[in-house]
Amino acid sequence: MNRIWTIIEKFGSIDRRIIYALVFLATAIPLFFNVRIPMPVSPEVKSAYEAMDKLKPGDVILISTDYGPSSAPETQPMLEALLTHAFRKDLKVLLMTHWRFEGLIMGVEGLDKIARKFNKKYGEDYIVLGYRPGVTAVMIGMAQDFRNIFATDNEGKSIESYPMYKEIAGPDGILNYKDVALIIGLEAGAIGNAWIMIVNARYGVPIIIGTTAVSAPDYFPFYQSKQLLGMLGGLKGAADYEQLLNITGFASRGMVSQLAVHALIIILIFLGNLSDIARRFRS
Amino acid sequence: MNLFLIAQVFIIPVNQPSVQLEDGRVIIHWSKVDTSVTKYEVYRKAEGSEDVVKIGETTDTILIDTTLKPGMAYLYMVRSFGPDDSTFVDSNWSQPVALKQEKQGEEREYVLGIIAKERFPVLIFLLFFGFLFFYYYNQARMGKEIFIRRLAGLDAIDEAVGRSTEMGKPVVFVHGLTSLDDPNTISAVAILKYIAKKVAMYEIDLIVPNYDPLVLLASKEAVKEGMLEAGRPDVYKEENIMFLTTQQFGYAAGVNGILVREKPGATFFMGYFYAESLVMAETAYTVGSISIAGTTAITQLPFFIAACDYTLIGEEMYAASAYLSRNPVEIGTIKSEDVAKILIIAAIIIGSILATLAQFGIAEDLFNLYKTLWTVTGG
Amino acid sequence: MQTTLPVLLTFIMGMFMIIMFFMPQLGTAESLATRWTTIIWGFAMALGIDSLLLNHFRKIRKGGTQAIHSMALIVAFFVTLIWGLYAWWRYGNPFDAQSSFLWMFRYVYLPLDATMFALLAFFIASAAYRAFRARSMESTLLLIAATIVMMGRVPLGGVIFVAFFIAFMLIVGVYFLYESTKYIGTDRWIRLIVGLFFLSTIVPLFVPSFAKAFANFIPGLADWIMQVPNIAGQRGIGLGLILGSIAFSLRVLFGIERGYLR
Repeated sequence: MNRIWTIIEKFGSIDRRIIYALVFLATAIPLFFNVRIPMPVSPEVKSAYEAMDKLKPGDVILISTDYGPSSAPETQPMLEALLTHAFRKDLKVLLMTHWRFEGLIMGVEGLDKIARKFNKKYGEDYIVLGYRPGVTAVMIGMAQDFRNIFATDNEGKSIESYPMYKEIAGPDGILNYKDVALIIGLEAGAIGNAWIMIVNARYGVPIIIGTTAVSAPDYFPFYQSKQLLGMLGGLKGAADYEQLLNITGFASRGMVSQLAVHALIIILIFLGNLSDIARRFRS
Repeated sequence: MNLFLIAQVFIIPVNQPSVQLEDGRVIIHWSKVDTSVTKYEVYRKAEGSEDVVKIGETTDTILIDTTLKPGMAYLYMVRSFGPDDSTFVDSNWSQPVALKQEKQGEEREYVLGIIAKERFPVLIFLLFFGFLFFYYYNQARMGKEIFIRRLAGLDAIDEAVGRSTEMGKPVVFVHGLTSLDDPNTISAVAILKYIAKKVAMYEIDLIVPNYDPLVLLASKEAVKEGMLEAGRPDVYKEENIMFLTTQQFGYAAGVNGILVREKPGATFFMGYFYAESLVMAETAYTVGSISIAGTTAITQLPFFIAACDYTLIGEEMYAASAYLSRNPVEIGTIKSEDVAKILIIAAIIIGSILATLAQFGIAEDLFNLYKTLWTVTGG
Repeated sequence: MQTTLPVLLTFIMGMFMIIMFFMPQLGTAESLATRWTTIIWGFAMALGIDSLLLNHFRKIRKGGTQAIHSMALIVAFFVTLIWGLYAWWRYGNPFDAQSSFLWMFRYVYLPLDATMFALLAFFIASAAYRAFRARSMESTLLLIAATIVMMGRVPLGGVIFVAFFIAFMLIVGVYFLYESTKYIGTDRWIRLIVGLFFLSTIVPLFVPSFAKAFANFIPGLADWIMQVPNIAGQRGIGLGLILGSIAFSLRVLFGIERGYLR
C-alpha cells in the first residue's frame, strides 16, 4: 500500500515539460481527423444565427474584423461561418477594420476564401472598405456617410464606382447605417463596447458580437439586456454556428482538440489533488 | 426596356394600383379586371427618375414593398401577363408615396440649458461622491484615524524585496499595456517608486521593462526619485529601465527573456494587462521568483490569482499608493469609496426586495415610486 | 515649483475635460485629448526607440553570451525600418497588396504573434495543474466550478465529467472502506459510513437514463456558472473599480495623490 501511496504522491509533481508535451499531442493529433462531435448549441449563438437567418437577399451586413493573429484561431472560424451563412442567403457584405491593421489581413483572407466558394464577385457581392484607425471617430463618421471615412476601398478605388454601391446606397447616393441591416463585430478587445454604446444605442443598428472566450463574459450583460441580437464566444461559439449551418469547419475540428486538452487538464488536476490527498493521509 | 409597349391588345390592363403606407412599408393593391391574366409583375420608380426596378411578381392582387428608402417618393405600376408570357399590358403609374425621413444623429436635450440631459445623472452621482470624498478628506485632515484593512499583496512587497536580497537576485517590475492616461498606470508608477526606495536600501538591481514610451519616462523619474528618497541615488542604473516594444506579444516575449536570463527573486506585475498576463506570470513562477500582481483587468485576474503568490484585485490597485505611503489624508479618501459602495449595495438590495414583492402584487406603489426616483436621477 | 506646476496643470486640464464632458455643446474633449496625446506619444516614441537601441548597442559593446541576441534585434530593427521605408516609397503604403513588406508582415510577424499567443495553452495547463488544488473551502469551490465549466464547454464534456465523478467517488469510497478495516469500534463505523456514502453517490449513475440526464445537465450548469455567479462577481468587482477609479482620479486632480510625481 505504501508503494501505491508513493506513486500517487509523485503525481503531484509532474515535470512541466511532460505537461507541455502532452498538451501539444492532445491539441495536434485531433486536428488531423475531420471529425465533428455534436453538442448543445448555446442560446446566444442560436440567437445570432436566427438574426442572420431573418435577413433577406440583398440586405447589407457590415463586418468589422478587429482582431489580430493571436485571436484569429477563435475569431477567424467565426468570420468564415458567418460569411458562409451570408453568402448562402445572398446578402451583400461590407468588410472593415478599425482597431489593428492585422485584422484587415485576416478579414480579407477569410472573405476571399469563402467568396470563391460561392462564386461571389468583388464589387457586386462584397466590398472591402479597408482599415481606418480611430474607433469612435470612425463609427460616428460612418453614421453620416460611409464615404466620410471610406471614400476609397482597400484597393484605392472609389466605393461609389462599384455596382454594389449603387444597389445598396440610398436614393440620394448616401450609404450609412440606415442601409445596413446588421453589424457584426468580431472583436479581440473592448471595441465591441463601442459598437454597442455608440452605434446600437445612438443609431439603433442591430449588432452581433463575436469575441474570444476570455472576453465573452464581458458581453453577456449586453446580450441579456437585448442590446446584442446574439453572441459568439470563443471556439465553441464558432463551432456552434458551424453546427447550425451543418458544416465541419476549423472550429468543429478544433473543438475535438479542445475536448482532448480539457480532458487532459482535468486528469492532471485530478492526479494533483489525489497526490495532495495521499500526502495528507500519509502524514 | 420600353415599359409602355403593349404587345397585343388581348388583356384588359389594371387601371392604376392603389398604394398605402403602413409601418415603413408600402401595400400595393389592385383589382382583378381580366380573368385571363396569369400573373402580375410590380414595378417601381423614384419620382422624377426614369429608372424602373421590378420589385416582385404575384398571382394575387396585392404586393408589399419593404425595400423603400426614406425621404424619397416612389410610384408603382402593375404589368398584367396573359397565358402566354410574351403577352402583357401595363397599368398607369400610381400616386407617389414617400417614407418619412428619420431624424439623423442626435438632438440633444439640456438640463438648466447647459448640461447634456443624458449625462446629468453622472453629474449628480459625481457631486454626491465628491461630497463624501471631501467629507472624509476633511475628517482625516482633522486627525481622525481611519482604519483600512491589510492588503496582503502590498505587505508582501517588503518580504519579496528581502527575499531577492538574500538570494542576491534582481527585482523585476513589469508595467501593463496602457499609457499614462490610465489611472492603473499612474498607480503602478507610484508603487514602482516605493519599490525603488526599498531596492535602493538593499542595493539590488531593479529592472523595469516598459511597453509605452511615456511610461518609460515616468518610470525613470519614479525610480530615480525613490532611490534619492532612500539616500542612495548612486544605485540608480538607467540601463535597467528600458523600452521594449508597443506590440503586445513582443512585449511578453521580451519580458519572458528578461525573466529567464535574470532569474529575479521577485517579480511585480502592476498595471492593465491583456492575454499576455499568464505567459509572463507563469514564466516568473518557473524561474523561481515570488510574484505579486495588481490589475484592474477583470478578465486577467483569474490568471494572476492562479499563477502569482499575491494579487491586488481591482480597487486595491488604486488604494496601493495611499496604503504604502500611510498618508492619513489619502487613506481617508479611500473611506469614501467604501461608504458609496455600501449605499449602492443598499439601494440594490432595496430595489431587489421591492421588485420581488411587486411580482406578487405587494407594495407595487412603493416599487413604482422607487423606480421613478431612479428614473428621475437617471439610474 | 517642480510639483506645483504639474499639479496645477493636471487640475486645469482635468476640470476642462470634465466641463466639456457635461457640456458637449462646447466641443468634444475626447478627440482633442486624443489628438494631443497622439502628438506627445509620437515624440515620446522617439525617446523610447533611442532607449531601446542604446541599450542593445551597450550590450554588444560589453560582449558576452547575450550580445548575439542584441545584434539580432538591431539587425531586425533596421531591416524592418529600411524595408518599410522602401515599400512606402515604391507603393505609397508599405501594406499595399503588391508590397514585399506585406509578405514579411504576413509570413514572419503574424506567425510570431500567433505563436506567442499559442504558448498560453501550455501555460494554462501548467498553471491549472499547480493552482487547482483543494487546499481550502474557497480553492475547492474554484476547483469544482473550473471543472464543471471546462467540461461544459466541450462536446461530450458531460460524459467525461460523469466518468471522472464516478472514478473519484469510487477511489475515495474504497479508500475509506479499506481504512475502516484498520480500526475498531466507533472509528471503524465512521469510516465505513463515510466510505459507503461516497460509493452510494455513484449508484444512480449506473442507471443509463439518470447518467444521461446528469451528463446533459453539465453544459447547462456551466452556462449558468458563466452567466450568473461569474457575471455577478465581475459586476461586483467592476462596481468597486469604478468607485476606486473616481476616488483615485479625484486624488490626482486635486493634487492629493503625488506618488507618480517627483
